Amino acid sequence: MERLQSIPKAWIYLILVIVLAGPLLKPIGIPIQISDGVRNVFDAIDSLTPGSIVVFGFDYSPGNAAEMEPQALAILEHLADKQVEVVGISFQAQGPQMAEKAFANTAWSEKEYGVDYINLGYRAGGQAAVAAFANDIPGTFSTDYSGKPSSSFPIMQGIKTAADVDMIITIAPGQPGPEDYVRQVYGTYKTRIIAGVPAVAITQAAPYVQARQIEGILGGLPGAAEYELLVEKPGMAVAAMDAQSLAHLLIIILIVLRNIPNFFGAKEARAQSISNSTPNGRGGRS
Amino acid sequence: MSLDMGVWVAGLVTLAILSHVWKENPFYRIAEHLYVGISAGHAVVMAWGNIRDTAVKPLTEEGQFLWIVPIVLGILLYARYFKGISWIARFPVAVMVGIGTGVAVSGAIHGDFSQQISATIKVGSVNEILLLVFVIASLSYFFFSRDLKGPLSSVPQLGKVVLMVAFGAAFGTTVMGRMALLIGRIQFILGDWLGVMK
Repeated sequence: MERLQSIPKAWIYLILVIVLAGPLLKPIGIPIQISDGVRNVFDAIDSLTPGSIVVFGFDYSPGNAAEMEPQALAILEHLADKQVEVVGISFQAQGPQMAEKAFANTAWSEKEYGVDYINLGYRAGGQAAVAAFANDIPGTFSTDYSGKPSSSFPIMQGIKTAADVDMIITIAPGQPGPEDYVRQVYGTYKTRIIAGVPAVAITQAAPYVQARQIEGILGGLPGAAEYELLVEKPGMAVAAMDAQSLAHLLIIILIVLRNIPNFFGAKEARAQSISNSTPNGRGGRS
Repeated sequence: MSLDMGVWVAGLVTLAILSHVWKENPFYRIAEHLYVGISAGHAVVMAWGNIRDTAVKPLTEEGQFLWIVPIVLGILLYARYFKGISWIARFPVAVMVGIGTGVAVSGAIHGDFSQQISATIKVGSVNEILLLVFVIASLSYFFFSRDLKGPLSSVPQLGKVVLMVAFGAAFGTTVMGRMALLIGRIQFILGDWLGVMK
């Protein structure tokens, strides 16, 4: 029992790394079910007609790219198939670089910059910047990421406010995030919103989906994996799902093992306290 | 195995950071300081780019002189570092707090208050009825003005259970997220760096 309580921390991490690396090197192929939430996101994006304007918020950074980037790549592949126009923005300082990388690693690399898509870079200010963006897109993002006037690009012609946008997709692990787009954009302009959030923020974003302020959310790596399957382009997220499932199993086993001594210890302590409370010790009733 | 210098640096720094699970060591410290320094440097460059594109260029190139106001307010923030005139920094802070509060409250009333309440009280399916019951039960757990007695006392107890389920779900998804981050690093090491993962 005591051994279970004193497993060195380093050993637990080592076992975890082995459990994670194993299926990455030799995939098992645990089936992935497509959830209704992810299918809703797919259907919403699939309903866009060619030429629709989509604002894509790259509101994540390298620190959380492992969870967020697969979502962005899978959705961008779908958007490329739909032949819509994508306006990349960011309210996160490292977002523009993530946008550059995402456009370069998807079908968008073969499309024309400034005509089919654009990267407008980063604007500081959090929720206030989101409000300013909704009210005046070319004014808030007056230049693209390289510093050229945004109004000089064909894609920006006719885009003034959020009302001129058919859909906003934000991939955001924190703030500004989906809540800020709901507060500052949906309330006034009723622009359709799709969000990609990390697993930890699913419960936070779900009420907005229930209230239909957000049309759908992708949650964490499983959301990305399901979307990769829907667009028939399995990538890093699908490859990671075996590892994630096994890691969860390991954590459940560790929690159970760690609590067995506590469970029996509590039982023994209770028995001890009962025996101490009786005047004659054990068997005092007789 | 990658021949890209940047991938090698990223790989070695990843190992240095992960080495902290074994124990505190100089490699971890070097990587930690690199991370903090590069992040700070990047943030300063992006912040300046933001000020330049949003305010300085329109002021100097397009003659939009109104941008002098936020630029001066921004500079006044640094008054707090000078004894005697540090009180001046309160003005830009007041403007920032005022604008921030105004923007947040106006958005929250619609987005977080009226629309959320109307969506919660609209019951049609079993799920929506359960949602309404659980919301009321959870709120009742934080009702301290009067002690609920009799059959009503079970409502906050139900709220407590609902909150525990919600916290459990949040814990589970947090673990899932952290695993995803670790998987991302292992994918990078095995795939991009060592090239042993297909």
